[in-house]
Amino acid sequence: MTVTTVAGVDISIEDWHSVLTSLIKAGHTVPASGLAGALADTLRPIGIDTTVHLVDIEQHALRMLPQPGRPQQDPIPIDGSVAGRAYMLVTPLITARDPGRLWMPIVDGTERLGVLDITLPPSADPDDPAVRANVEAIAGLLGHLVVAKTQYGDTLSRARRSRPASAGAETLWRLLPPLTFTTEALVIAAVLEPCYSIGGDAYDYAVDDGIARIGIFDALGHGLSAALTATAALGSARTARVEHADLTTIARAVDAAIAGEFDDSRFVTAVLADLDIATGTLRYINAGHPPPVVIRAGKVVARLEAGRRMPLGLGDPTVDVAELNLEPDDRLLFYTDGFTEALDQQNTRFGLQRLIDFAERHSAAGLPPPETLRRLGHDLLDYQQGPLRDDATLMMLSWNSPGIAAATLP
Amino acid sequence: MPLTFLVPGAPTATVTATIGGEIDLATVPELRGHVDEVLAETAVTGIVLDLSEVTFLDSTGIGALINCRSRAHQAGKTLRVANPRGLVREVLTLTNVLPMLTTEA
Repeated sequence: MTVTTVAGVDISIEDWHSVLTSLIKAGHTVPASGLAGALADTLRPIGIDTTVHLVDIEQHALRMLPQPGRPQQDPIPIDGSVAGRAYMLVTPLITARDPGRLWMPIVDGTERLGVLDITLPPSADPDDPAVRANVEAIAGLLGHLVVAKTQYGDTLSRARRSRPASAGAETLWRLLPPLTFTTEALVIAAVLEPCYSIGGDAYDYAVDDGIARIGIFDALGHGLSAALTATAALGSARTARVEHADLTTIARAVDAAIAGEFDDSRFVTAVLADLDIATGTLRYINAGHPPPVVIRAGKVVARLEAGRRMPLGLGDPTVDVAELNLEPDDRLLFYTDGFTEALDQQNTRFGLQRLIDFAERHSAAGLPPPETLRRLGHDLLDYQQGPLRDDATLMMLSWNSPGIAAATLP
Repeated sequence: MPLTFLVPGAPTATVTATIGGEIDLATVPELRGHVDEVLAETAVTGIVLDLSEVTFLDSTGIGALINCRSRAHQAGKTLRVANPRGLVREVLTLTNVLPMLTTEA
């Protein structure tokens, strides 16, 4: 790969600034299919070369975003590559043999989107903090642009798939919030399998003014029909929540929507919870769902099994709301039974204990929560060794754990 | 595994149907058909679904049981389930629908 450089001329502050403003300006109108080229065009005048790689939705490999004038590369497996390691740990990495070339993680917020393969001209020292800061700014802006532009065309969605998705999966992926969110004292991470055919499972969160409003949902059945039920549940829950409805009112709104729309007694099991981020106080309702667990120092210390009522959609008049208090460094793990009820070849259940043991093992390695969950999703697929019978979802909240939060940041 | 649905030969106001096998996406239409058939008899005022020989029940099956109950009510008749065992009882308990389905109504 050749790079056009101006020998011996440093990249000035004005140059870096101009790159960012040009990219923002281009971002107003660039279509999804033009993003990789627009980035390259903006950086070429200062001698920087880039290739954008986006993670596939199954989080197995990094896939090159097609770029004009550049041959398409094969997907880079996340496990065992430098690029993959940059993705896993959300850390910029250099390879020893190519010190001017950086693998920069691309994130939107803390949602991991991929890795930017960026080659600096000889005049720019990759270890210079000023250079690093500017390269991080470019990658940061790119992350926002990737998410923004995904809505306006198919190129970015297409780049992240290794196979077609079902209609139910397409519907749900566009509906669900990002897989990772970090704010002060809270990290939320989620994973769903099987990526290309999810149907009835969903998760949701909304964090405002120090309160995290969280939900996990499992609609009866699977496929597109279940996806429609989950969609109705999310839509009715969200519109109530936006109007500041309390947990019980949200549950009733979902009841009304599902019973009103479908006449086959379909339902959605769910846990709806509000977490006060400052105090760690959690209030919740459990509508027929497997109880989420609080994990402290590797052990389950509480289950969200009070506040019980029937699944949403069945008009249960119960108004019990339960409460418990988290301690710093606690993790709250939500799951759907597709995870714990998965069977291996010997018909042995995956089970909650195995889930917790595997989660502990990955967390002990100091991995950021999205990486822990990525590995757990793959652990499940390896365990099942065949198509999953049911959607399997995990959502993990890490409360008041500064080291964990820092690990999610590039 | 196929669904089995056995009703006693002699007609009674409350019919106890013994269900065997798996109640899931594949067998739900059959179950509904059988229940509808029993409830269609004018002389029948209620049905009890004995689940003691059911080996598997998933969320679609639970939905079907609830729906059967709902339709019985629409016809002015009663429906309840009885004797869920093992995993079947477990899943009905976990989803918190066992009280509703076992109440005489």
